[in-house]
Amino acid sequence: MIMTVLAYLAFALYFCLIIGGGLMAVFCSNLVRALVGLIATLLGVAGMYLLMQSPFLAFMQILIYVGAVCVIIFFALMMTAGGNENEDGTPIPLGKYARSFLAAIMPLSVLLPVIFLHPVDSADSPVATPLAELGRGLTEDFVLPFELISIILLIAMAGAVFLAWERRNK
Amino acid sequence: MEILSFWTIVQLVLALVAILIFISGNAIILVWMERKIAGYIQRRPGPVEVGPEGILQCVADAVKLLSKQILKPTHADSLLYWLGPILIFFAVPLIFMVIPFSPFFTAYEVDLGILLILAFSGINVLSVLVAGWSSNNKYSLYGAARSVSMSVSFEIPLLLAVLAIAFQTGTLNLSTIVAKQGGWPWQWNIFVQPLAFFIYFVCAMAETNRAPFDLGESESELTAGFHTEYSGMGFALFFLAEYANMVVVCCVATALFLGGWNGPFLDGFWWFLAKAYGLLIVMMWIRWTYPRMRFDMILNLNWKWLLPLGALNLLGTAFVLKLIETPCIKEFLEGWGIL
Amino acid sequence: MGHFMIQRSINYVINLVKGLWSLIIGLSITGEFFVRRKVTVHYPRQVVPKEASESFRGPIELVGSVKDPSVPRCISCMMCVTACPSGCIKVVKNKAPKLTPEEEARYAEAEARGEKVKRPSAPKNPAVYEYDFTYCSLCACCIEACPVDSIRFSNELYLAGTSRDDFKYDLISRLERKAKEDPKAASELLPGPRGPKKMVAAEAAASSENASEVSA
Repeated sequence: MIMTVLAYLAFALYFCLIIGGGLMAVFCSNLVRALVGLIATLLGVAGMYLLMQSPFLAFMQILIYVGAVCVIIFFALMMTAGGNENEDGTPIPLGKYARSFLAAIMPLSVLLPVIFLHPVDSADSPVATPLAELGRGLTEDFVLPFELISIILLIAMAGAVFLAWERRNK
Repeated sequence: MEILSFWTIVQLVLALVAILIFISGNAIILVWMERKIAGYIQRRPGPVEVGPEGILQCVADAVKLLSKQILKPTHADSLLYWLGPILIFFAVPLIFMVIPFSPFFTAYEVDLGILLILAFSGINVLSVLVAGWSSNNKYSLYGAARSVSMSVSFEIPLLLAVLAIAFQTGTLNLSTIVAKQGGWPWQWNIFVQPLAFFIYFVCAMAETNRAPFDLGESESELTAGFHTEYSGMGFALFFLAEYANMVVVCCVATALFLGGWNGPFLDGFWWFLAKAYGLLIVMMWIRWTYPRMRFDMILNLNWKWLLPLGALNLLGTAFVLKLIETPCIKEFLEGWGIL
Repeated sequence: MGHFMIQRSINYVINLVKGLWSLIIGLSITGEFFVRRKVTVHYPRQVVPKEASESFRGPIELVGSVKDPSVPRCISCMMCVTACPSGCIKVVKNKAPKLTPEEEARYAEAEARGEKVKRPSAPKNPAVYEYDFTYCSLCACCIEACPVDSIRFSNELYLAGTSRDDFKYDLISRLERKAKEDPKAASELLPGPRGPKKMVAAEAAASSENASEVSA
């Protein structure tokens, strides 16, 4: 009984982290604070994974997103000139608002239909998947998507190196 | 993660309290040790006045830090400024939870122990960045930038070294890894994976911002690096976290490479602590021996040496593992009594 | 070309091994220091031995004359006062002894008789020699200026005081005290390994020529 209550409490905490962090990320004018909001969201999502009995995903989320991706973003922000675009107080044109809204809607417009058209039965109490099974899935059943993702990452890396190369030659 | 029971929670809370006491007690002992070792290496006695052989000096310092005024620079981002020291300390107790001090002395058994430690130690980097950026001080910013670019790159060979052990033992559970090793030094993983241990140790020193990799706070150039602006407890938390992190990396090294609680006789947590403290002393010895490395040298060391070596070591481990699994070789080895 | 490349890579590996070995050597050096005897002298409980403090150049002091070590060699010529850049020395000359009325009358009488009278002149040694160490920069200008070698650096290592006035010394009474303790040391020209002052002056004059011959 007490465990259920605690689980609900944890869920509420993670929920608040996700929503609060997301709002902070969107509405903070300071980029670094916005990034902190993003980090809070990612931590909340990691907590949700924990509740869903997949600690591996949760730790990976923290290791990769919080520990590496966000640090790199932070680093980039820190190295770029600070200050927000709207410093001189000119009103932001309406078209810009519309475009940002469109950009925000885009992932939803892909994800929502998928979720509603192909709903997955949710388990009453989640079952942990052993790590070995996860690994087998990645290297046997889903080996093609897995490799495709690594190719995308490789391309991204090559692109980054290429961009840096151009800059240096100038 | 299995379903938590009520008693698990009680156990967790008790363990948390014990760990917090352990961390602060440890920090005091370690600071004293560090100052003594620094003194002895420089042929002076180190602290001697407060308490026997100066052991209470750190208590006095802690009291001083507690009573100091807490200051914030004028244009510092107050939210992030206070988030830095809190963030750096919040992951530390969590990490201690999964360290197997002895078979009966692990706060919380997780199958993904190593992964948890690696994940939460990444938060350190973040807090260094947050602290350095929000201080509104160029020294802090430089310190943070240096230390983070170093930590991010040293994390990779560290992961590779740990992965080699995970390959070899086939698990991420620290207790299982320790249990698979024997009591004598030639039964430890360091005997099979000396290169991995070397890489791990170097990277661990870099991850904890210890000399010769203490770029984050290089005193001679950046006053105090990323924590220049922190006073009183803000500074104390950074200080505490540094020593706590040292203990963490040494405990992990003990569990992964040095046989953990196993000893030649009378297994128990004393062996674990003795080995971890031995590693800590080596770390201090190294700090007071080598000068600070230059930034580009550090990154060269990482990307040109440790990373390729780590990758090769991992490949070699995988190759050998596959090789000894092949039936004919396995038979041969079993015939000679090696396996 | 290929040969050159091989040579270079061999050198690289050799350098690498040497570098790694040097790391171990470094550790062994500090390890050795770790176990060696500590050299710190713990002040309130121990002091530096006399031989070690001999080369220390502390606040200046007066040198006693050979005949009477409690009287300084000083002739109150004021050279040190003039030479001091910080103005921390204060010297007051001795006045001629006050004559009693009878003596005065006798001298006047003799003078009236047409004799050449030589009234007693003032003693040369100073009446007051005050030294304010709080301003002194230990530049040794006074020592060099002194024509009779009456000033030297003391060996006093452990200076501590609770007020500013603790460092305003009356050097004459200090010399008297020292002469009572050890008359020989008080009148010694220059204690310690510095050599006679005249030699220092000679050294200054001919510093460029034979600096190596002047023994320290």
